[in-house]
Amino acid sequence: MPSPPSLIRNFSIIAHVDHGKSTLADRLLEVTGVLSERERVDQFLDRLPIERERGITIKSQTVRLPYKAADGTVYQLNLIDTPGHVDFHYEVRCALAACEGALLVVDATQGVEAQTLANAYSAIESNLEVIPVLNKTDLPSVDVEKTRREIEDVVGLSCADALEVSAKTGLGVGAILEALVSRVPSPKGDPSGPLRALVFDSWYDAYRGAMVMVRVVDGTLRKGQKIKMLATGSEYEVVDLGVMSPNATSVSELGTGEVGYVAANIRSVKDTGTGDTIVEASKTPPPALPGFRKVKPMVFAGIFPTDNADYDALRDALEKLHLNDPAFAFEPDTSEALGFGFRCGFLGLLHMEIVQERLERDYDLDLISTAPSVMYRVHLLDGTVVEVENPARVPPAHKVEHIEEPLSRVVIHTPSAYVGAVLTLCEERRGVQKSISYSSTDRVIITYELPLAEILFDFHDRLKSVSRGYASMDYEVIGFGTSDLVKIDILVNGEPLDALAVIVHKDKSFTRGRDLCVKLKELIPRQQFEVAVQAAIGSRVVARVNVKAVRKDVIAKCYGGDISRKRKLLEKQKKGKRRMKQVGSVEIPQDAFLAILKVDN
Amino acid sequence: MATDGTCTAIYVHFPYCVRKCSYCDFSSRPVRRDQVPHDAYATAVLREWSLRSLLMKQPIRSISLYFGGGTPSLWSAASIGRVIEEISRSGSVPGDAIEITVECNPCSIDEAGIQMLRDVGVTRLSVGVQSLSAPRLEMLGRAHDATRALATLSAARRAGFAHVSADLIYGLPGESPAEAASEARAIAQSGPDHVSAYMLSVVPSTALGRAMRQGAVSPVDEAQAADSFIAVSDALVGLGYEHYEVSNFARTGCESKHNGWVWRGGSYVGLGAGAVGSMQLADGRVIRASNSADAQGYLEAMEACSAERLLEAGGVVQSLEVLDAETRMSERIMLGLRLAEGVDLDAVSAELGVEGWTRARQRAARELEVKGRLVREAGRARIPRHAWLWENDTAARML
Ligand SMILES: Nc1nc2c(ncn2[C@@H]2O[C@H](COP(=O)(O)OP(=O)(O)O)[C@@H](O)[C@H]2O)c(=O)[nH]1
Ligand code: SF4
Repeated sequence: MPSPPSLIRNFSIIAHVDHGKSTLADRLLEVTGVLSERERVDQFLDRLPIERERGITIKSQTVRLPYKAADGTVYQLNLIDTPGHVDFHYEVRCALAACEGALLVVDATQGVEAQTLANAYSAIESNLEVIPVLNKTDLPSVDVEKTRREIEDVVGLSCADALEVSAKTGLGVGAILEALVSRVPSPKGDPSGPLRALVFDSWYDAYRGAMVMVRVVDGTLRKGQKIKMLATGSEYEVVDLGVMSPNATSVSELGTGEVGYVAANIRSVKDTGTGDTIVEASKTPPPALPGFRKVKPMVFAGIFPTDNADYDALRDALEKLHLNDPAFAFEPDTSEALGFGFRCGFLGLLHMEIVQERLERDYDLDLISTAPSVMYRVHLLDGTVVEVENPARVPPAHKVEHIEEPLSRVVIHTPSAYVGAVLTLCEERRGVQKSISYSSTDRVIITYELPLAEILFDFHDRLKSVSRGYASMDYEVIGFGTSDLVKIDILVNGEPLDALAVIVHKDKSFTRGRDLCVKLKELIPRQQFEVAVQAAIGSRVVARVNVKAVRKDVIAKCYGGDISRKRKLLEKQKKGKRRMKQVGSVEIPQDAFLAILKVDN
Repeated sequence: MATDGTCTAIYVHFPYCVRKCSYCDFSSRPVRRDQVPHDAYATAVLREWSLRSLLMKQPIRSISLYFGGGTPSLWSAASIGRVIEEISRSGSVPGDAIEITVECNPCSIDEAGIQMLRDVGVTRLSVGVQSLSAPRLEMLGRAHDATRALATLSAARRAGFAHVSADLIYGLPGESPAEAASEARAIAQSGPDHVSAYMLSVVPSTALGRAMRQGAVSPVDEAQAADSFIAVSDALVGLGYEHYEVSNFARTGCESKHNGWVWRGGSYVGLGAGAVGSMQLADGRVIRASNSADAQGYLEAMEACSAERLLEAGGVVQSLEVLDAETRMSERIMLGLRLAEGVDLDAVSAELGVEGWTRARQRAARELEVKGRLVREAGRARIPRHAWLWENDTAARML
């Protein structure tokens, strides 16, 4: 039996990385008895190993928490988990749209940071009741008053009723549950209206096909019901319905305001766009829920097998990954240098890294990835416009009228001591300052407009290094703008190596070309023959380096006592070769393809 | 060559030297001439032999006995004779004379000593000439001069050894390829039927390594050393030697039987402190055991050692490896590519029961062939002489 909407509370936890979101989620599961202490796996919600390593949640894991409140009534609390990273803005918004409330967790030893602000704004824009939660109050370095002030001044939320907790010790967690019941509104919706359910997550299950996570907005969703996805128009029959608590449990229906999963023999996650609306198939459909859009990749990179024979294995792996992650796009690509592979599109840099790591770790593939690039809009002299997401494919300069590139708005939070360094970095990266303000006496919020391409060139690491790790950032793509861009070609032994071509701003082209050559000299190992590396803009060579030939690589003695040692040495040497790509007669290591990211300004 | 037979080579390590050479990173410790434990060491080695034989597949048939070091020519001929006699007793291949080699250092042996080694049954002498130039001998920390070294070679010939080998080190700082070649020629002219010519490799922890770091000795020029490799090879091949292994040259039929056996995957028992052996156990497994280099510890441990103790790492045996078929395949390729004849992967595959020409190896071989670094003839792969200069890289790709 579905619960009446008045007894349902749907909420998310939002926080800057490491402020304690996962720890608090665990504690809520424990306190409501959903996860007993004994069977508790640390940070249940953060299951995937890569996520655990990086301390972020990529795939939402939503749970139902039955909670008997102080007034004796049992409420159904649905904790809707949101992705914790900037690359997944849209997914975060969809998940928030399924909630009425949010716990804004702020580490009270750190205060407000870039993602605190970005997440809080998303929640406020989604009309959620946002409850500030000051976490880590068990630590001696905590500064509750300062954190309250920051939340009030920067985020603009009253902290009169902010909760002080320790997700680690459990202190104050009871008060959070009571606050959810008393402060978060119950779902509105029309229980007797035509069915409308919001899709806010999906994943691929090897046995049941694509599964979707929904929030029923109006009406009731039933097992056996014929449903339709409004955006794609495809129709399905609901084979199974259920909730996570924390393991999957089937239910026969999901009522208005409830949250749960749907299995409907959906072949691919592609057919289950996040943000889509599910309606009953037979009826005239009610209007779609607002906000749906197709997510578009913003960052592109080539992925090639080191051994061409692995092409099919790579394609299979990409297809499998795509099943679970429709935001990731790929299409066959060929490179003169790297042979057959794929051009892949990602939401952002982190998304790219995650996909690459999964390919190598879960599918045991040896891959060469090219440096990430953005999509350029190239306006040709003949008036046509082409979208190019691979620097090697940018048409020659004499055909180009002008080029547009994606711009982004970057918000950086930094202690005031590093303001100078951060501004210098942004200026070096062709930034246009939009605003700068103090969030407290010693913390500053800096907003810049930066070409997205500059963010791809190692911006986050540089920001961390110029601020000794203290600055945090958030960015969002805001549109396209015209820039004076040129292509640098890299020639190896006189032959252009397409996979190494980069697009840079004209003013920086000479230094970038030179630095790139110097970096490549470091990265390309010496080989049997001398290797010449040149950087060229158009037909003009702007830099050249030579990688000297190896004259000898032989051990004089290999007698009985030396055999094991030498074998181990060669095994190591062989491993190093796995990440090399043979390009003509030259071997180029994976690192070299990413050299542009390592070129310091 | 089959390793699953019961034929074996035997290596005896003698871990003492009068003084340490500057480039040496072998397992050896300096000892005063009058403090060499001649008899005690022979007793310990024979004890180890009797225990190891219990573990091995029977019947054991020895094909060679090799005394290396250290400086085995410091050991009394009587003790060496005792070891030879006991070990020969356990059996050899009928109709095939066992090769018995002793490495000797020109400064630790005279004509009488050489004759005594011949008398106790040694058949082959390997003489550490190393260089014929006084400054280079000094750089190497050798205690003898060129005259003495060449005299040792002729004395060996006179004493009637079936085979005499000379060691040469080239590619020294400041040495030109022409100089290296002329030393090789001069050594050849003293009549050895076998020459081991080693390109110097400087180990950082040695005295020479330190001197180089401190700038007292100039660094080796890579290009010169590479050119010297070719120059030495051309010189010796010109004099009728076959360049049959990366660092070894022999007149026809005069290859080192012992080393050839090991390089072709034959099993070898290692005896003595610091010795390494690779042998087939009675149950069929192939193990590689490295004895601890501590000579004093070895003497003491052998007094109360058991066969079982030799199968445990951590005591006399410092490390123990069980070699599976894939590992053995890798080693056969690695060693085989150092031989002029190369390695027949199909034959080794049939012997070990694992794939030889895998897809990856075929691909690697194709790429290497294009660069002139490998030749494939039916199932066999070999490295042409000039391409031995990249042997490590080639072998790593073929592993
Ligand atoms: N001392 C203390 N540490 C906490 C508390 N909450 C979280 N942590 C620690 O802070 C780190 C980040 O927490 P986590 O829940 O993974 O953060 P998330 O990235 O927001 O999910 C972990 O090492 C937690 O153990 C708390 O209340 N007190
Ligand atoms: S004689 Fe041989 S073992 Fe002894 S120190 Fe010299 S090089 Fe080393």
